[in-house]
Amino acid sequence: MSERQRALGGAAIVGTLLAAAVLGSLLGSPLWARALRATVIDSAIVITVGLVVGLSFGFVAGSGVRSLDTALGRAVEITAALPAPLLAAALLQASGRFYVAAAGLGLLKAIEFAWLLRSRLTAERERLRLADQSKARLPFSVYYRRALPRALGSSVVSLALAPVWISLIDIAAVALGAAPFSNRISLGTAAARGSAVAVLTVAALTLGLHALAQYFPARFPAEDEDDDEPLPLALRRPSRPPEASS
Amino acid sequence: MRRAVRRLTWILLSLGLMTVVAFALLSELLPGESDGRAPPRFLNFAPRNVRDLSHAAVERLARGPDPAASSELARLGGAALPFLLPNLERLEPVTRERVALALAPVAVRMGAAKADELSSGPDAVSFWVRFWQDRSVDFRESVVRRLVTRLGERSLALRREDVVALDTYALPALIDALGRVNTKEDVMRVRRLTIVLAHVGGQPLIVDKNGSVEQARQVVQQWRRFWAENGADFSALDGPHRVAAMVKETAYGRWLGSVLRGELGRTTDGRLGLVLLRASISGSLLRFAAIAILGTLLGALAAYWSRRQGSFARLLDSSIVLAALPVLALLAPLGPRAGWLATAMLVLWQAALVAAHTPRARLETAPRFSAELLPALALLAPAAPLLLSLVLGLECMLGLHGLGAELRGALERGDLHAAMAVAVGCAVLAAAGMLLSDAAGSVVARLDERGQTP
Repeated sequence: MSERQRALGGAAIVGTLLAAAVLGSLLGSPLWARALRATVIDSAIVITVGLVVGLSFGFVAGSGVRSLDTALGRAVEITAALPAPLLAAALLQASGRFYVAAAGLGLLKAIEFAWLLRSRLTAERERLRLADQSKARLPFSVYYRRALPRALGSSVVSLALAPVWISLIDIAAVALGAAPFSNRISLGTAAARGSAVAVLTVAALTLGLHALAQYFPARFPAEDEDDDEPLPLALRRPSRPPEASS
Repeated sequence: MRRAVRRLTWILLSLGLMTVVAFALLSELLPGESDGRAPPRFLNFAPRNVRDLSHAAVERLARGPDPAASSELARLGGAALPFLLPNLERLEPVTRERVALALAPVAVRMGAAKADELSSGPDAVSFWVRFWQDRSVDFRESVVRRLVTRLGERSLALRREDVVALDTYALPALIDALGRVNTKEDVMRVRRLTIVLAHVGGQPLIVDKNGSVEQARQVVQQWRRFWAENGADFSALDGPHRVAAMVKETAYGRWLGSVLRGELGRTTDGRLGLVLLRASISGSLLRFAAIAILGTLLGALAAYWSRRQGSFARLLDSSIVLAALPVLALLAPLGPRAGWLATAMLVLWQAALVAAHTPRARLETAPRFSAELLPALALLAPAAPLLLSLVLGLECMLGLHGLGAELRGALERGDLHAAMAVAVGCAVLAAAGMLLSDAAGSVVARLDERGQTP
């Protein structure tokens, strides 16, 4: 199956599920549609916050700004020690709104996404610098046009896995007995109470998003392999005088 | 070496910051009892102190007879005298008599008078006026420290009476004098001090006559805990002490104090947080380590084989089906006996997740396992919150002994200190995971570099 076909399949799955959620709402909100709608909205918030905050933060940190890189490292260390269901439950308790909890989880996801992006960008930077063989600082546009698309491809997968991530947090929160989750209706809480349909829906939604996430970033790196485009000055191999052999 | 020290320092600082974040979140989730004595969470702009408490009690007595205010003055005892007695004669006559009568139990406790001598208001007022004229010079820090030091050196009835006569004013010096307990002489010193402490502080915490070093240590620990919880009520808090009390006299400050005392808080069922953590962390550590290490290795191995074998790449692509499953929901019916089977399923899930993150770009060089392992290790740190959640959720769902079960219990009881102990346990697991990931990353990078060199 080609990437294009897979992406089309993914789009069809996501589209069908979204249509089912909307239709379910219009037809009097059966439980499954309400759960699906809650998970879709939460996933959308998480993906949006993760993409907006994580992309900008990870890009700047990965392009060599030391202070942001350090701050990102500390943020990762702090959030790594924080069980996500507790964060969600506390935000839910404080605000009474699931959207706020989803935004908080989105920040957690943003840190994860930024860290992955920064790691891949650092690797790409090393690759470009090795190709260049010079110690000169690479221009910003090089990261933007060449390193970022390559790094983005695999990092964006973490965002595509948002529905399963959110559902797992819901399940863990229900298992832990976090009080604010007792009244929540979502695919995760339904799965925690033994709903096989909810498990399959989460898997289908994630598969669809993953197929889309695999396809779109894969379009960008082609630019990198375009030999006709002249390399920026910093990437041109310097003409060195031949060294005298000892 | 320098890099390792710097890394460790940062991890410790991050742990400190994490406790602040975790405390903020957990205290929001578990508000606890609000009985009016509960301090603010992080900053206390009006920390409790003996001066404010005694003045507040006098104001209440000025409004009319108030048994609660009277017993408050009796509880504050000698520590309140320097703030009450110099101004006693300036009070309204009725208020003056009420205050003097409220302080009568203090005089009895100090051995300065008998109860029947202070039964009427005018008698009590004249007693306290005379008392302050004679004894005000003793209510100084240097004097009380000298008296307490002498009591610690040798037990004489006169020395004991000198300290008892200062009542709760001597509490800070007595607590400081407890010091460390290592030898039999220390046990005897602590016994002498705790006899006076028990009399003045109203707590039956005394070292037995033939008490061991261990028992003396426990008693000292209990007195320190008493002081951490109630010390502000017997302290004046001037200058820098007041600034420090703005942080110390908070819910977080008190919890941090218990961490510094090596207790890690105290749960509502009376256990120390450290004891809870020791009892429950090993199972969670094993599960977390198994999922993180084996899952990462398996994921990297799968990515490596997919580079070598085209057919395996297709199999790897389909592993996303496993990563897309909310696997925790499928584990619930397994029951407590299937703990390791469930862990193995989570290992596979983590491996599928790692494989799903593997870049599919065409390689310019021959595939190397070390090159696949590096991005997989980089994934470990940001994946830690989810892995920890999975481990905690798994333990709750299957009823396994570990941090998850303790956290569930803490959430049910509304026990903030137990939940904080679990949060610290999670932080330790995450920090250990990160150090491991860092160390493994640098080793793999070196091997990779060596492998690239012709």
